[in-house]
Amino acid sequence: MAKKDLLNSKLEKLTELVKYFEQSEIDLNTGIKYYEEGVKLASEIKTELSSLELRIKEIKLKYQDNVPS
Amino acid sequence: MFLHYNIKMEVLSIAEFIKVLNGIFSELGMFALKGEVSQLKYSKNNAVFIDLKDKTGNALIRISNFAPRVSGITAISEGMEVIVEGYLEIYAPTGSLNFKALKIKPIGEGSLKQAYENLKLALESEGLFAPDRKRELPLLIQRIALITGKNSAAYSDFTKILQENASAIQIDFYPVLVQGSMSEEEITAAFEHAVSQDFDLIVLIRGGGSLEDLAAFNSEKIARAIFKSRIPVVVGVGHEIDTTIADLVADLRASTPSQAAYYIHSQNQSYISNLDAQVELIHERLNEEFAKIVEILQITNNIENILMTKVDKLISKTDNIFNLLTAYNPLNVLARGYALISSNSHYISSIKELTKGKAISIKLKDGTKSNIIIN
Repeated sequence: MAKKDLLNSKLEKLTELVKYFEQSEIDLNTGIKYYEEGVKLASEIKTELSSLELRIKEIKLKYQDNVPS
Repeated sequence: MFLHYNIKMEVLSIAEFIKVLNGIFSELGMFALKGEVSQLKYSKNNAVFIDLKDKTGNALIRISNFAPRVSGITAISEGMEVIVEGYLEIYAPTGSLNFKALKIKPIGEGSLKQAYENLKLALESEGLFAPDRKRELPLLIQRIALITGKNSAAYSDFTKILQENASAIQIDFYPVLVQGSMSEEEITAAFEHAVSQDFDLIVLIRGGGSLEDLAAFNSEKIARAIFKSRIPVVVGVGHEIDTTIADLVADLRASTPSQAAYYIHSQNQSYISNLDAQVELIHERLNEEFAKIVEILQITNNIENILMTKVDKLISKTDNIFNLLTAYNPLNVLARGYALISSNSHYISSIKELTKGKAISIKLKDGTKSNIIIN
C-alpha cells in the first residue's frame, strides 16, 4: 500500500505542477524548475506503472495453467 | 446280568441297599417309555413330577427330575401322549422307584398340536417372539450359514434363486437332518458352530411337512438356539401355512426357502442402489464445489482485468499530463525566434536586472552566447 500511496502522491504532485502553467503570469525560472520536476516525475511514474503492468502479466503467466478458461 | 454283583446274605443298611440297586439300574442304561401324561406337577424348587400311564390304565410309573434337565418339558401338559427317555433310580429318602427323565417328546397329531400351543404360549410370555428384539437384516449380506437338509429341495430352491440373481454371497452349507430323532441335536450343533463364525446371517430352511415332520422346528431347544444367536437368523419353512416356533423366534420369517433367498437378494439390491445414490450425491457435491472454484477463478480473472484497466488508465493519465507539460515548456518560445537571457543560471525577465558589466548568456533556438553588458 505504501508504494501505491507514493505513486498516488507523485501523480497528485505532477497534476499540481501542471496547474501552475495554467495561470496567466508565469515566472520563467519557476516555470523551468517546475517543468524539469514535472518531466522527472512523469518519467518515474511511467516507469513504476510499466513495472506494475509487467508484474500483473507475470502473475497471470505463472498461474495460467491452473486457471480454467 | 447280575452275576458280577456278589449279593450274599449280608445284612445291609437301607442306604447301602439302595446304592446297590441304583448301581444295577445304572448298568441297565437308558429306556424310552411311551405313555400318557395323567398328571404333571412342578415343585417350588422347579422339580417336575409326571405320572405316566398306559392307555389301558392298568400300569403307571412315576417320572421326575429337575425341570431344566428334561429336554422338551415346557411343551408338555396333562393328557398328552409322549415318549420319555431316561433311566431308573430309587430315591433314597422315600425309597420310591422313580424314572429319571432326560428327554420328553409328544407323539401323535393331537399331542403335537397341544405341545406346539403350550410351547408357543410359554416362549411368548418369556418374550422370545417380541417384535422389538427382532434385528434388521445386515445392510450388506456377504457370508451366510445355510442350515438345511442335504440334497433337499429347500437347499436347491434357495441357492438357485441367489445364483439366478448373480449373487456374490458366500454360502457355507451346514447339512443337517431336518426331521427325525437326531434333527434337534444336529440343528443345535450347527447353530453352535455358526455363531462362532464370522457370518452376516444364519439361514434355517426346510420344506413343509406334518407337525411330526416339523417337530424339531417346534422344539424349545432350537427356539432357544435361534433366540441366543448373536447373528441375525432367517427361518423359512415350507409353505406359508406352516408357522413353526422357529419361525416365530426368527429375526425374519420367510414363507418358503425361496422367499428367504429373495429377502436376502433384495436386501443386497437395496444396499447397492443406495450406494449408487450416495455416489451420485458425492458427484453432485463435487460438481457444486468445482463450480464454486471456477467462479472464484473467474473473479480472479476479473480482478486482473480491473488491475490492468486501472494501470492503463494511470499510464494514459500520466501521458496526458506529460503532453500538457511539454506544451507548457518555457523553452518552446525559442523555436519561434525569441531569446532567453540568463545570468548565473537565473533567467532575466526585466531590463532593470541588466546592469552595466553584468555577464549574461543569450540562449537562442540553436545555441547560447555569453556577453557582458557594456552600459
